[in-house]
Amino acid sequence: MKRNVKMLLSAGAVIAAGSAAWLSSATAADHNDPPARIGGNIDAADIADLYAWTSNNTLTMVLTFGGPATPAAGQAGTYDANVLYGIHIDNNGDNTANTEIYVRFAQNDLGEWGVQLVGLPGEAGPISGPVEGTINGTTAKVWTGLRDDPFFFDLQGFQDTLQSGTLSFDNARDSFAGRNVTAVVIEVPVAAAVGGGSNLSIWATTARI
Amino acid sequence: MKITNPSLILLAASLAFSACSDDDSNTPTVFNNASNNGTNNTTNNSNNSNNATNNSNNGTNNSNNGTNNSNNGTNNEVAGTCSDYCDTITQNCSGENAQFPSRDACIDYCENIGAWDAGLTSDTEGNTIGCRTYHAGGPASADPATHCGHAGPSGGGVCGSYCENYCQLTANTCTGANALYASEAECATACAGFPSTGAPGDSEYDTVQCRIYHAGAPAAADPGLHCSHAGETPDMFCIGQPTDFRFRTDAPSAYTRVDRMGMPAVSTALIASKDAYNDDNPTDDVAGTYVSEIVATLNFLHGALDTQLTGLSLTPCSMADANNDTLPDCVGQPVVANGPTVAGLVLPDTLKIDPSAAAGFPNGRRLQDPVIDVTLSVILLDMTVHGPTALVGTNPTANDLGVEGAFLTAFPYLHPPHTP
Repeated sequence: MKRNVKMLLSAGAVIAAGSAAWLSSATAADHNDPPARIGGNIDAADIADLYAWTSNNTLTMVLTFGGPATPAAGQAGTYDANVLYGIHIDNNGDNTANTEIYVRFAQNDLGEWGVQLVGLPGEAGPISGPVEGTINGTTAKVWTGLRDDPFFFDLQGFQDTLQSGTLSFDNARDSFAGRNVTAVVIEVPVAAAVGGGSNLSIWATTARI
Repeated sequence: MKITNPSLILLAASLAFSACSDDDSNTPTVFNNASNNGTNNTTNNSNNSNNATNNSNNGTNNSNNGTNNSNNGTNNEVAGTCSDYCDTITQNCSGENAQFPSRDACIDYCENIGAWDAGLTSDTEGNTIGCRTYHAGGPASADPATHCGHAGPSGGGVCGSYCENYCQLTANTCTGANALYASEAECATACAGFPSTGAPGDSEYDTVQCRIYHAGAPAAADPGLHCSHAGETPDMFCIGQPTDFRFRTDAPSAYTRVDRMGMPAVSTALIASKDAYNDDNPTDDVAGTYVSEIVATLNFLHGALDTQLTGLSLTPCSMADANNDTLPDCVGQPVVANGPTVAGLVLPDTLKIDPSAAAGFPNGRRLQDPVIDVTLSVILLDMTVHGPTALVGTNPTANDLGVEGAFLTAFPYLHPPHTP
């Protein structure tokens, strides 16, 4: 990996900064990215953030999307039956997933939303259930629904810094305060995720049909 | 069910009461009287339990019920006829309570499809024309939503059990190559496993009611097409439940990529070719596809901010390759001594976790980690002078909800949503 980076750089790929295309649309973490596809709307396919950590032999993964949403009366999560969420886990260092967790949402004939997860480490088959509640597998545990956006960051200060070239952060200004986001929270045993490897690399994708 | 013994008549009456009372608990006496006998027996409540079984709709026969209805058991036995049944149900069960599309359809069903026994119009139960005529009469007139289903093709669980109806029906309409069961006993065994959670006339979901619907007029018209919907394992329609979530089953490869994320802010803040980046995978990252964009972005940032950082008594990292490792120092520097380099963390764009080491960004990412300030530290500052938390405090350092703590201590950790 590192060798490839070096090779490319030594080939003279370093370019001078000029107009920075990333400036105008730069936002926090991954909210509203990619802008050409998301367009600033609340979109179920717009990943907001990915969190993953281990504690007490448990791997917790949190994928947030469809935010940041301004609270509204009767607000529900942002669900789309045509969006596929992938949480990919590489446990042998080749940057190709050994485990692929796929998450889908759908309604029943009563109009209620549910979630289905396939490929969870330690689970023999799919698990599914209603949103806004805990779903227990054999060893996995899943919760999906609308939550406080856990991210905190002065987005305006970041954008101002980039555009003005002057450090403009304000640590009392949290652009995600008071905002909601839709979340998938997953817990699985670390051992099930690690498999025969040792370290984990985790990333998330969304796709639409 | 043919009843001549007076004690059995009383039993049948009580069964009739229970058969319909679940649905109509406060009115059975009313419909027994009003429906069957008009105004004749209003003075004879002590005996009118017999009316339920005797006087279903015999408008011309019960003129003396008012004084004599304890003897009706032997006076008013009338065999059910399809003509009488279809007249009655067409009159009392219409609109959303209609059981047949037309009287002709009723006649066809009664004579040829259901092919029920005649029974007596005083019957309150049993898979007979008479029982259906009874329920289509006074009871349906008083409460069509409840009683028309009892009078309809399935018997509603009252005029014969659902399985009696189902097995008689399938034996009649699905025969020969389309036969669903080898014997009545086989059918009864299978039917015992069908949920009866539907409503009479349902045409979908895994219920006995749905199977009765498809084994009825549709199977009679085209058994080759419709019998397969009505068997033990229907091919369609009579499957699933309304509470089932209808998840797409397309393969992941059938979807088109929208977004990708691993490390916070890498794609958003450091990459210009956003669509291409989101379409790519970590293997593309490590191939070096995006190194030039990241270096360009860092050059821009350092050009704009290094003087201010120096003015704050901070030491920026160098975009030159001072240590001659072919990478700009800001990209090639270790985040901590002997730890991963900046380049190693952002390329590939994945969260990297060593479960044996202490959790906390960049070893994974916890909810409470100040990831933007750490990222700013490692891409802007000289990590031989500063640590990766040097700029923590530049942005807010905790989530906005502090009443219960920034996050819940128990699963699912995120706070409930904000309200307006």
